[in-house]
Amino acid sequence: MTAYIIRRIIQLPITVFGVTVLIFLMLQVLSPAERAALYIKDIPKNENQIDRVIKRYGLDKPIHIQYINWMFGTTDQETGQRVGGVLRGDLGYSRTGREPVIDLLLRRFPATLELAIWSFVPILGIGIWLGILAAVNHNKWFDQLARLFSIVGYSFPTFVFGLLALMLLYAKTGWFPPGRLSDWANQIVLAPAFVQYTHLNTVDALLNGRFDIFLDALRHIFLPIITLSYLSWALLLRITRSSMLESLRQDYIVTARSKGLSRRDVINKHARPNALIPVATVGGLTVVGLLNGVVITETIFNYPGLGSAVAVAAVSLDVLTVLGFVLFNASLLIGANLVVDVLYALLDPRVRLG
Amino acid sequence: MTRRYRSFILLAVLLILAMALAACPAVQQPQVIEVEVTRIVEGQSQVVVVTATPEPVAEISTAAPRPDTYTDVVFGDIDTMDPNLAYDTASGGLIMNVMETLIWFDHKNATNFVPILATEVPSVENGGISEDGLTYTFSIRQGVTFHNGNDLTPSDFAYTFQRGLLQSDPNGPQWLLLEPILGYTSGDVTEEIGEGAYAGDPEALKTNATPEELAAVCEKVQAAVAADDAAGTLTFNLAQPWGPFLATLAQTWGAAIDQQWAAENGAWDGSCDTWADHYAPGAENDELSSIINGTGPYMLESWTPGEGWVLVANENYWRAADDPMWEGGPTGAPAIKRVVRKLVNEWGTRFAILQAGDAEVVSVPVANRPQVDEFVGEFCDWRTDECTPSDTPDAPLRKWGNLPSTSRTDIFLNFNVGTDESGNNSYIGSGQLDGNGVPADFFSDIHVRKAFNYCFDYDAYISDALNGEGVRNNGPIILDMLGYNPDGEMYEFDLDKCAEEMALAWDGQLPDIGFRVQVAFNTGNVTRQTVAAILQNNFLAVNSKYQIDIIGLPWPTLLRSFRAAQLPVAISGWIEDIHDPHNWVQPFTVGTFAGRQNLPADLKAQFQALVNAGVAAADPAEREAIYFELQKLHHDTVIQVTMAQATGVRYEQRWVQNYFYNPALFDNYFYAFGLAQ
Repeated sequence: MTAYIIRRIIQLPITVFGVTVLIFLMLQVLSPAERAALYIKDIPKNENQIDRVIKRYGLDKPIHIQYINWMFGTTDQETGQRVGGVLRGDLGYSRTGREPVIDLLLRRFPATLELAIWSFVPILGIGIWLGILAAVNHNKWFDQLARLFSIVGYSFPTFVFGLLALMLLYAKTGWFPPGRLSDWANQIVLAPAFVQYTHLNTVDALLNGRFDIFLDALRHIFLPIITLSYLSWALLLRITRSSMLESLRQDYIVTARSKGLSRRDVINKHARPNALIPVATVGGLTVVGLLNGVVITETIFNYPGLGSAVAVAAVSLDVLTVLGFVLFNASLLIGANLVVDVLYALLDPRVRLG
Repeated sequence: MTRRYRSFILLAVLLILAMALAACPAVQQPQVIEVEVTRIVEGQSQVVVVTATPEPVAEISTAAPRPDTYTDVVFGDIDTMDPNLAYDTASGGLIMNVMETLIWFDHKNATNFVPILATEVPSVENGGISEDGLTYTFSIRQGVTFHNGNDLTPSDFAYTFQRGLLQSDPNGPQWLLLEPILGYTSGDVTEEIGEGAYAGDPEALKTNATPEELAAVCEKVQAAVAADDAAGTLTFNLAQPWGPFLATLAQTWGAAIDQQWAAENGAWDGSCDTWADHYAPGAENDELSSIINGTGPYMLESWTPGEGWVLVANENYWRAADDPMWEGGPTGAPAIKRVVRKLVNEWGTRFAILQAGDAEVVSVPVANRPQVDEFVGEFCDWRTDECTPSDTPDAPLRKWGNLPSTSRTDIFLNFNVGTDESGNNSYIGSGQLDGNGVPADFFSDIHVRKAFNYCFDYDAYISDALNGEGVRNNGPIILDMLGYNPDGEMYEFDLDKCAEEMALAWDGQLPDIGFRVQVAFNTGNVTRQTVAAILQNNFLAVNSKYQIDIIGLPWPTLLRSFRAAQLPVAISGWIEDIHDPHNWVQPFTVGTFAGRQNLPADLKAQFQALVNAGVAAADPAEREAIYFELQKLHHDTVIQVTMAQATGVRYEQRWVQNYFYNPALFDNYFYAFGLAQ
């Protein structure tokens, strides 16, 4: 197991290197003038503007030079020392985020993490619970209802569901506003007296003894959670249901029943653990998806997480931001895969990592 | 269902209820009024106190729910808070509420100025402008302090302009000042070092320029903008007379920076030995990009990139009660104590916020205006401030219509398209007059250009693409601006004339052979796509062989191809930098667009003479005559299809007070606004 984990950790920089090289190569399709468009949002007011932007940001330099500068930094003309570079922890400046990429990622990640944490429990808990209930009530009214619920959820576009939720539960009632905090709560959170231990508003509010801010943060995060959950339940319900049905048909279940075990014990102790193995994979990927930021949900609810920031960067050809996100994302994905693999081994003793 | 599950569900329901209750506004209790009534009891009067409970007062929809806070919800974040570097409207909107300039606009009037940090607007009559138009002298107001408590001095202003000119960032606005002050047309202060070879490249400049060359540039700038703290004056020594100079100074790039504060924060210290270290920094390296310290009515409380900013009132604002900004204008501390700007990219979300009453104003795309119109209770005229109720007078919003924008979309015809490195151009098909393309110089024939003008349905454009909110212009200069000739000729939509002109073009071959040409716009811009579609349909109506292919290009590609003059027909737009005709005639006839259209040198020379004369003239009447002539030439030579200036709309909650519109302003000036209590 240890060797396996070490091997996967070693794979991380190789994967990241490959992905970043790929992005740099893809960028060569665009001319320097096209990449200068990130800096020039309107028709240039001065004839020389594009040339100077290209020169200012070295967009006409050979690709390997640009890559080396990004990875290892550049030489300071006065001191002769290398400055910047990913290996020195400098991911560059995010033109679309208006701050260094590392600051953007670190500032936006807590919001995404908070949403992921709050969504994770209902998504997995309710999704699996509904799936199991549907399977044990196979072809009964609950199963039919759950399948209908699942199909509707699966076919509901996120932006439609999100906007409907926003119109009904905010525009008409004022209950669940978009954003992350109300202005009054934001004022308190930004004040020096409020200690931001984790930058997760709900957690920090409780640690600071501000239940009013906790409630306000929950009001803001409620609709994104519901939107993400409803659309994810569909997938988890279907996978859990089919996996559970398969488990329930196995010989060992018949054996367990014939031994006279109660229905609850058969389901909980014998069928469910085996049925959860494929669910672990989907669950892991769902968590990674949540941690990467959920673009549409974040955009509709104006939730300032990673997803909305990177979406803006990508459409604006903000290469440095996208690369920074790729580094972050690749690390997260590899880490999550590692956890899922280890979890697999723990859930299924037949699986041995080596 | 187990007890555990039931408890969980109960807990969840309670939590949701708690959140909903927290969201509910406090219920207005009926007001209890005590009145004294007199009752006559057998010859003696007795005063009895009775308590009357009146009918509950209906909630007044025009009272602001948060009377101290103004919230607007828009999209587009600021680039920088450095006034020397800021060149986008979002940044300008923040800066203009926090920092102040020498002079500013007189309320709604975009061409008259009032003094702000200067004591008067200079003119030839008051001696502030020299007879030759080369020297501008401003007396600086005394007793003004920055938000950090430092005194404003003329030296701060000199530092501000010197820093900006020496910064010369390629993405900044300094080219607007370099031309009048130093006479540099390249847009860069290093124009005279190595023939401008290091322009925009700070590392190359520092490596290759000699200390003497660098010092010479700095000294030239310091000589051009000089302060006399003892006399309390700031003097500009221009390289050439410049008609739009006051209009240029009135914008945010002329806002005063506190030199001491700037140097303490790592910005240029004012020394000629160090300016190159701060040359062309970009927002990412600029020391003043994320901090701001002004003399204005508001102070920055916070800025969260991508999320918005918050301003709080400067309670020590210097403007005295007897010194209104303009006649009847605001004085003293700001009425609105807190301004919150939230960035929300998605329209549906902004609309929900507006409906919930959580924002005073949200930005509404043209296409979504009919959706919001249903919530309008009154329509107001920005020129007269008169309002009339709508069909739903109880509706919560107020609409200000016909706000003339300072931008316009036009059709640009290329006189001789350029080719790529391989000598090809994919936008002109076969490159021959064979019905499958056009020759590179297709639009060099004036009849083709006239046909394009006649074949465009201007009314359809205004009604379909601009939602009926637009007004036609008859030349590069926009309506109501100095030099706009209301009697100027313009081409009208006329398919017969379009057909006639096409028949006259290219020795009469076109009706038989036809043509195929691509019309480009930037993807996602529905207005421009509609323009192309109008043109396409009308040419097809004239002759089925007149083929226009509509091509949407990603912005980077459009920028590259347009710049390389490869697009035969491009639909593009211009947003003014300063509210002056020079900022329109220059790009349209000799600058940006003229280059992208490959205008012939002789034609360009004709325009150039008029552009130069117009900008150098100081007398408005003289300038007007020159611009009339220029616009006549523009009409006769048909170098573009001039369309319509969009008129904007503002929807606001009806509790907002004192809104005013000035086309030259980047944003709202919150100091003048109020909220109904």
